[in-house]
Amino acid sequence: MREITFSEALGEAMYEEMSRDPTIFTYGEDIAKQGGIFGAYKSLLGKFQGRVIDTPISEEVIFGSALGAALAGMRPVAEFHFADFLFTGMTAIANQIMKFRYMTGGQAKLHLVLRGPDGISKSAAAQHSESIETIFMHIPGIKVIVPSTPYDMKGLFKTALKSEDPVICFEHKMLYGLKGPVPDEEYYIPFGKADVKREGKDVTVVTTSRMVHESLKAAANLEKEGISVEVVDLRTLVPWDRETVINSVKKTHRLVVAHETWKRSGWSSEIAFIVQREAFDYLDAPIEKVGAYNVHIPFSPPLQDFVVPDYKDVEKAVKNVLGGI
Amino acid sequence: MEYDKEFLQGLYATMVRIRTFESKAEELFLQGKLPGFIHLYIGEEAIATGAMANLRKSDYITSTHRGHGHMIAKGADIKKMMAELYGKETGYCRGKGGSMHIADLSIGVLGANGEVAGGLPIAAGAGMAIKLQKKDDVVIAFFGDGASNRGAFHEALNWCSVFKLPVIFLNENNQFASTERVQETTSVANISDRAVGYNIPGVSIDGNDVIAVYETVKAAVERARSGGGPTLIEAKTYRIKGHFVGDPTLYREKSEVDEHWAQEPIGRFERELVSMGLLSEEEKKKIWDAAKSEVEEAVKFAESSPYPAPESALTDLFVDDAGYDY
Amino acid sequence: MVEVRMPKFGLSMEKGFITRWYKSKGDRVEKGEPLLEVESEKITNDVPSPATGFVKEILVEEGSEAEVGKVIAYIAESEEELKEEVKKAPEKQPEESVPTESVQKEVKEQPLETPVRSGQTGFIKASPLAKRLAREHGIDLSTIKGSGPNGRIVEKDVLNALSKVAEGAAVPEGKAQVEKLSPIRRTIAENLSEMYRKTVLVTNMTEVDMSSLLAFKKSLTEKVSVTAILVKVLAQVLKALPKFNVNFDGETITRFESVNIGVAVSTKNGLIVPVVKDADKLTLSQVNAEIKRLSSRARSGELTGEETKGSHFTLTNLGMMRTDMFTPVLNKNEVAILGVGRTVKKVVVIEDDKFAVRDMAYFSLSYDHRVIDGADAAEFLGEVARIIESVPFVI
Repeated sequence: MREITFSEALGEAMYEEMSRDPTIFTYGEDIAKQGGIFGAYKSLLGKFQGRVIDTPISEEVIFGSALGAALAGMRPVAEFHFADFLFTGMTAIANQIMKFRYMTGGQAKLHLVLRGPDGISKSAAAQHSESIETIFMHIPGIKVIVPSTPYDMKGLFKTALKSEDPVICFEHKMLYGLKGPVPDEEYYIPFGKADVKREGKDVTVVTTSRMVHESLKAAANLEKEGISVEVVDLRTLVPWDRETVINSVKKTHRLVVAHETWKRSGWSSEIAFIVQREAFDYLDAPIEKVGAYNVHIPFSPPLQDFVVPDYKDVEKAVKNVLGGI
Repeated sequence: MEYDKEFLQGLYATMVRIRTFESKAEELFLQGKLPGFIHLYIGEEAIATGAMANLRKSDYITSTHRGHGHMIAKGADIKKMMAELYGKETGYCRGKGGSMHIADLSIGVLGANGEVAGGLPIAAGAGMAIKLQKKDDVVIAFFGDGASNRGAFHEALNWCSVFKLPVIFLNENNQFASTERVQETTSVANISDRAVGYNIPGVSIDGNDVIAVYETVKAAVERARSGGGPTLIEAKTYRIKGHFVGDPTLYREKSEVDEHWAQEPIGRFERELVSMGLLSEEEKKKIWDAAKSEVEEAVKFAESSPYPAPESALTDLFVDDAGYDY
Repeated sequence: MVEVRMPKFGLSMEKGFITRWYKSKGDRVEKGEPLLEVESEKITNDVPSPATGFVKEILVEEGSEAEVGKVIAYIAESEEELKEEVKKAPEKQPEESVPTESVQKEVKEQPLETPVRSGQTGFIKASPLAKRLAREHGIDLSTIKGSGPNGRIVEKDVLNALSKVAEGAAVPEGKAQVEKLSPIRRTIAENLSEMYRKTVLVTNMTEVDMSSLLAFKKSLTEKVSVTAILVKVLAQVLKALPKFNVNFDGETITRFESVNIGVAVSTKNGLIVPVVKDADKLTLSQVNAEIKRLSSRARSGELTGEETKGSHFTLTNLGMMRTDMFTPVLNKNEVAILGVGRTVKKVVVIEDDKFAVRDMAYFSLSYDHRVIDGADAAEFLGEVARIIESVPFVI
């Protein structure tokens, strides 16, 4: 199978759906002439004149106008530039987009997508490195997708472009250049279906995005020590695939939830809660979390490496649960 | 400009319908029949009425927390509005929104809004959609004096100016942002002065003069339909009632309210029509009686409607609600 | 210092079997808190602590018996008391006549240093999975040492314990496992052998067409068991043939007005026969509910002595299992017992020499020939069959 990058996969998804659906248009900062600051839209450069739009740095209107455009029959795809800057326009998302359909008694179909990069890169420091997907899982009203591979990126994003509900897509900065197999033929990946990226029998690691790759690396290392790790990539957080997670825990009896975002009240807590409730009698050890320390992402490389989790933290967590913690 | 009698009486009747609805809502609220809180449009009827007389059904508006007048003038169903104020199943939002979140997408009302300036980015988006769809519809974004101090106002004005979007920013300057006077919280004498910063036309008018509103908005709408981009209109008016029903209004004297009451738009327009011989006592009575019975009918409808089933609170978040764990 | 004596549950209890001590030597205990579990006859009970303090001595270990009134433990009411040596306790005269000397003698014979149970008492630290595995395989977690953090029992520990049990069960190299009968099983054994030895047991059998009864059961809106319907049928027959509604101790026959029918229930601890009292006066629905209540209590070991006493006739229904005919042994003091086998579809000859497929079951009536004649038994079975086979069947 051919291999393309994560950002090419996004571009292909956009290209295929925009060719088919004239109501799709996309806008944000630095996308039309530059192809996005991480090159996410490079494959759209020069295409779809007037439907790929550079905008002022006005986040509240970037997000709020997506609602207006959707209400007026379009299918906007608004880019948020950096996940950190979701906060600058957050009211338009949390107070308008996420509430509109509910407040109005289901009058509207809000086919709009918010997408953009999140997570760490090389020393981007505290205001350009956040992963804040948990917040969108906490507040009701938007579907949250967090792809980890080019294949998932394309399939999930194509589904997002057909969704009748608002979707937010978090694309990890470190993944844009990642290559992976993507078939020539079209496909869609439904929301709420996790992907078991690696089968194992001793410990289940539930994860998303960049941490999928860190977890796979940890699993490969642990295999040499005779420890068999199952890596479950949730792919979407709203909705998330309880069935696959619970079945995996029923098999392995031990669970680690790994994400890049802060450990405290990160979405791992929700997964852990549901698993202890639904699979209580199957657990042989307390559930362990992997995540960032509860400080901001620091600038200096050794500081960032210390705060943000990687495969070594996953390995440690797996060993912890095997030892019963 | 010359207008025929029917058109003028139509404007009068719309203002009367809004006034009647609002007076009734106030009465019902004080009787404890309406939950939550409501913001009344009494004294500001000329703005919604004059503006909306320029719109067609496919045009959009975004409204505010003080939105009943906009809804009625755009052609909303008074029964469904009243039922929503009661929190009933038959209301516009099936009891999920209440006064501040009424919307009717079928007539282009993209929602009242509980957030000051919350509708402006939405209006910008609707404007983008119209432009991409190559239609000649327009959007009127209503907002108060307080909203002009929010970032969203400035972002939206700049945005619509840059993209030349068919959006009319219609400011209802009723002198008060909640309890705060506009002069004490705003850097400019006229909110329309702010248009300069965004390179768009800005004009201030007497918002209690329904004809002035009609004509000013008419020019802005025509410019927008023909691709001329946005306009900022400040319609100066006065909030006769408190911020919400039950507001103790410690921030102003009653004499000030009485003074402005003499200038309220319905009486003023009525006097003009009568003096021009365009409204007889009989016609006037008929218009008020019709409004009254329409509103009474709406109250009867709302009161006889059932409350929504409690479990229905778990619907309407997503199109595919099924299978979600709430 | 406060003595803990073997209490008496029910009038006929003479001794109690200690199945479990909830506290170990030295443990703190509150007055009224369960201190130990005692099994007697067919009932298990918790014994509350008579005082607040510390367990000073346990004189009768788990798995041992003690006569009613015997001192089985001491509670120290203060830490000082806990440290004191056990003085020879002045034995109070227990309610029932237990010879004082023998009790004192037994106290002396008890070793002062009783082995302390390992691990925690009451709460056992185990992972949820370990708890579930233990529950499913009947493993007592208190017998397992945990290898997890802070001594938590984890899956591995239970699996190890399970494999040891499996090894034991396999009885390698001609070794045998020795198991002492539980008090419940022992009571069952004693009663059955007594009745088998003393009575002249004869069994009459007949095949009964259940079709009409089953049709009736199906027609009911309420879900009612076949056993409940049979109890109602038996109540009717016992009223008509009072010879069977009696108790007989070998010399005297006691006849009863009331119709109390024992219903055999199989539990993990063995056969228990709770009694449906006044079965003739209860409606079918009440009988059904009573049987349900009694069997669930029997299975959870909650039955009181009263609920297992006073039956005049017993029904044992093996219809749910593969048994056609059998010869049940009489329940204590009774003169007859009806055993019902499984219902099987059979081709039978009906009126006008026609063949028909019918639901057939064998009814086996065991009786004590000393007081019941063969003809009586035949009449009884005939009456039962007549009612069950009447079309339509109504009760």
